Amino acid sequence: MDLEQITSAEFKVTDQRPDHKTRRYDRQLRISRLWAAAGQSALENARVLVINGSATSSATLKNLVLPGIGHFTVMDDQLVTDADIGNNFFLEPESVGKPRATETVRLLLEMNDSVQGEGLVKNPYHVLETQPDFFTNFSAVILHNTETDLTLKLSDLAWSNHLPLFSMKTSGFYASLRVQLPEQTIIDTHPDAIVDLRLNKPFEQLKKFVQSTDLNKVSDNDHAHIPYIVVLIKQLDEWKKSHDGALPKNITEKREFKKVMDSHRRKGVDEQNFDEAQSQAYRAFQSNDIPHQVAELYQDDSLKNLSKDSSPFWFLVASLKVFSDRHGVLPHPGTLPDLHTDTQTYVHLQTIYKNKAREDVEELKSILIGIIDKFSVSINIFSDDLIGAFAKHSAFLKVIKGSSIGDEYTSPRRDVISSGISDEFTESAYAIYVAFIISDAFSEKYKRQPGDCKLEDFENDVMRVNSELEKVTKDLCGKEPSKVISDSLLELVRGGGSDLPNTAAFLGGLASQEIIKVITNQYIPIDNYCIIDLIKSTTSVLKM
Amino acid sequence: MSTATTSANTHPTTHAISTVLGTESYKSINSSKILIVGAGGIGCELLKNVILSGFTDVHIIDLDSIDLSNLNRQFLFQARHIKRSKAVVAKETASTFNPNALITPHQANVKETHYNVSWFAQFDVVLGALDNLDARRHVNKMCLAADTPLIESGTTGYSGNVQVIIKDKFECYDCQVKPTPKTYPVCTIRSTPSAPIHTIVWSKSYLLPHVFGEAEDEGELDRAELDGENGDEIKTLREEQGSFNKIREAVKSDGGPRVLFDKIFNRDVRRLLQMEDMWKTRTPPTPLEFDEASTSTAHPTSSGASKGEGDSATENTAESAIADQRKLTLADNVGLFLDATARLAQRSSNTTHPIEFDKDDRDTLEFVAAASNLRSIVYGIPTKTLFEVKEMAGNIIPAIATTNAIIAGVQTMKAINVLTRQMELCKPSVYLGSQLIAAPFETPNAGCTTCRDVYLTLPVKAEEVRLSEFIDALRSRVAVYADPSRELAVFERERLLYDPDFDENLDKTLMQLGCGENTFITLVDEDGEVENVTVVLAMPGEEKIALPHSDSIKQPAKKEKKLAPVAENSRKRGRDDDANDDSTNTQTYTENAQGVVSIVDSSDDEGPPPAKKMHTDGPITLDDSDDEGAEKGAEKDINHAANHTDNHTANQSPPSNDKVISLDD
Repeated sequence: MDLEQITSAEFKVTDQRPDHKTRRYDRQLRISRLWAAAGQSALENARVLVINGSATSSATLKNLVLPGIGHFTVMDDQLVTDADIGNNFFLEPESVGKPRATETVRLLLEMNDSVQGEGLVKNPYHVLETQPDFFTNFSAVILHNTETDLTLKLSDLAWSNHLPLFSMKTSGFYASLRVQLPEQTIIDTHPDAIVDLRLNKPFEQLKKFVQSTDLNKVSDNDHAHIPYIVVLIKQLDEWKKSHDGALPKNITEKREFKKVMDSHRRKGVDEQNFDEAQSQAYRAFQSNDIPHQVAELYQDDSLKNLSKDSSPFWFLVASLKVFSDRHGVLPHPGTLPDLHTDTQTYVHLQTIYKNKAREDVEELKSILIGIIDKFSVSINIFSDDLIGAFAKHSAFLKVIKGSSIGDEYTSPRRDVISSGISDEFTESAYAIYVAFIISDAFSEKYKRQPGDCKLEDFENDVMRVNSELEKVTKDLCGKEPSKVISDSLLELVRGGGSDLPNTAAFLGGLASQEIIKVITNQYIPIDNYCIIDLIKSTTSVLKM
Repeated sequence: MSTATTSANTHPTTHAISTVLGTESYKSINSSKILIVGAGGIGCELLKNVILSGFTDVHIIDLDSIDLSNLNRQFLFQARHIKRSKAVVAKETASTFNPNALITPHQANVKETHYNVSWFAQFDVVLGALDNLDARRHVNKMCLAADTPLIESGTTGYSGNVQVIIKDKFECYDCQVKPTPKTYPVCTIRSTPSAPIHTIVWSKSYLLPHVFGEAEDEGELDRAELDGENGDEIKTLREEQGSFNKIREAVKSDGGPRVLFDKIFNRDVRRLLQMEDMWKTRTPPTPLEFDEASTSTAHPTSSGASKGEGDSATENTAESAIADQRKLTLADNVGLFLDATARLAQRSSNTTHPIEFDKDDRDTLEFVAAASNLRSIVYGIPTKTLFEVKEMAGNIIPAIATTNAIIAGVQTMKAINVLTRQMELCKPSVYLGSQLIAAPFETPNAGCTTCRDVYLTLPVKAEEVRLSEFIDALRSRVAVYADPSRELAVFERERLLYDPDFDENLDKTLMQLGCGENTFITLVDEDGEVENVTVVLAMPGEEKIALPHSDSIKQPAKKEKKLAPVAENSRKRGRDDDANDDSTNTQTYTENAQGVVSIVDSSDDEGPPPAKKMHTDGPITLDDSDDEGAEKGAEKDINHAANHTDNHTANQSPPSNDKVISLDD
């Protein structure tokens, strides 16, 4: 829009209307809010595979189709039954007798015409045998109530191909979600706020700015408009001079610090900047050293074994390490929170921080160029946006090292499980975890879920799972089964492996949330097991 | 859950759930009648869940029509439904899941008077799926008065919460002071803004209504003056206000937008500048000269970029492609202002209806965005993009399908728990991005201004019953009021109708006092020894007052501690003789929990009677540095739920014994 348009009478503001897509996703697409344009683009390029066209699968897909996932495939060789119609919102009475895969896909697609979907009426075992490569063409694989055997085969395949896999189970009001991730390196973890004022380690330009202000020589008006950052840095400087360079340590010293600071207030002048300095003083007590979790990244094997095949993330971490070794701090994020001062000073201070951030990014980039040069890696894979975002979020980076379902199956974490279950506990997510394992053992033997039977056979199923209970508990916990496990097991058997609409809705919400986090590579996903107890309306995250 | 499996039900929809729940529990769901308030993101999920779970008698109420931006999460609606009623389409779509279920849609505002206490009382449980504080408080109060369990919920982005509210058992929505409404002193908005939200509030709640909306309220400045705000400043603002009356007509003529521009961004600013005292400790505003401004391509200070510095590469993210997120230059804003004003003027000439702000009404949004940006430029405040203004002014919170599904799933479980009387499972739930947590039970806050009242629905012929008769009738039935030496004060919401020093109204009928069906009248013990009684006037029958037997009235409990003296001051608010009372500047610019900005005059606010108003009274200070406040409000709400104990303010009285004192003792 040029000036002429702006000022001419023909100016049509409606030309500015965001396009259809922007308006549809209006509420989720806000900058720095949910997942922004980069996340939306990742979502739109994603292809997911879902095994079983159940109510839970449909509920999960619904929450991926609505925000605009690129493509989804439902693989299922079953036909729609009356029971399916009863609990799956994405089937209709006319669907009975037709393939579940194509029917659910057809109805899911009605919600969003920019999403593509495909129903495959195929048996997953068969596809595994004939074309295993088929499963590696997806951004994520999602399972619901699949047999242990199939779960293990698919998770092995996903693990060796570095694909995220989500395995969901439901039975009555109990459910679980196992998230099997390849190494996940997250830059934008969406911290609450990115604030780095450098009070304790002011950089050169900031120091100069602070020194240029003399608290004693300015007018009352100017004094009331000195940014609290300046007040704090001056005060901290003085403090360190009289305390061998140490920061205020304990509560007494911190109080003393605040008291001295207050003595600089001008009498009879309403000084909001000093109020801010008081409330923000805690920031002055922080060291500005390299955060613990970043220091940990520097020790990571991926950094030691850096090679030309390493991901861009690890090259960036390598550069960050050089930077922080050099300066003792991380690159500045360039943000300045709102504070009480006049506009001119605010803009000036903002410019100082922004320029610092820009310099730091430039330096990080030149370090990076030096490093990748040794590995003959091209700078082209590092956009300026990427380097900038990395520098800005460097204090909040997160790496998740996944673990495979196969390993969990062959060598369960007995110590963790056993300490998570005690006779004194009346409830325990670990007990539900064990109950799911027992239920799996039953299903392997009898080829159906325990409790999924005629009423008169129910007691028989309970007896059968109880015999498994003893075996499994001894193996996992090294002790006799406790009441908390048998209670959980009974509830699970009562569920009979069912897919209740409300459990499906809840789990569908929870699972799709995690899938979106992984696909957009933003926020920190569940690592790695979530137990859902809808009777008590709680979830627990376990690391298995 | 608690009972063992039972006989199979042949209906496939309900077979599995009745097996898991047990027949008895399943029956209580199957035979219940419930209400869902709101057919938005959560409401759609709820309706689907309850119908699939075996509920068969469901009412759903929502005033809104379907908009394109709803489709990313409100899955009962499709593009072909746009502009149709949410409640009606939700019913149509959900009915197909279970043809045996009866769904009754209401396209209406739940605050309408015919949705009265007895209407709420017909439901076994009410599920709240609302998006604003005002409606939430209303539904909370109605459910308390009707003694109907309410399951309240809310989401924002990746967080959400669910709370079961049952009168006298669990705390109610008002038991904890909500972090907002945030209020802005009149003069901050009118003459000394210092943050973007101040200029947005000004454009939306002051400028737009003055030029195109409902005629203004002079009272605002009167009260500000009484409150001791700068007298000269008020005088200047009054002159400014006077000239608006001429502008309303002028703006409709050719060149009208330019006239408005010159007035508000030049002449009014110059007038304020003459108040030299005001600018001794503040940066003075800079009036805009039209010719200069309309050709200036400079990017004014905006929150993202600094003056003349240019954006750094890292900020040029893909979003800049989206037009509404573009930073507008000064000239852009001028152009947009003239154009939007012309469009609104055109609309205003064609109708007598006042134009109100609506975030989805492009004309009003652009008018507010351009005007607030120009005012920000005048005051050297960072400007905002159209998207940002829409968000800050329009109560927009990020909403996604995933969180709604999670929260609605929990809410449905709580409904089942309430109907099957498993109260130990009704703990408040908080979802924070990946975990669902059961928060501890909270009993009602003894200082709560809403749920500690004893509610009593009384059929009364308002045109016949005098206030004195009304009071006498209650004294005859409420045991602790029987002693004539117990002095009572009577309020209609905030308004004082009677106290021992103010008896002019005693001979007037309730009708003459503006009280009729659905009016809430509260009786307050002057000594603060017993809980208040709130009488809800109901449609009269044969009798003037259909008084129930005192045995059937729940009696107010005795309080342990007297009310704090704060109450004494504010209670005088409704009096005729309070003109000199300087504690009553009650008009403020208010924002609700999710950032809706509106002017609230607390003298006709729906808040609780001031005698009880201890922790909500008085202006809430604004942290000027927090211009994100509007957006963060809803999140605070969640944190608030998570950090329960921090929010009970010190000046509330300690918990009272919930014992009922009756006449027979």
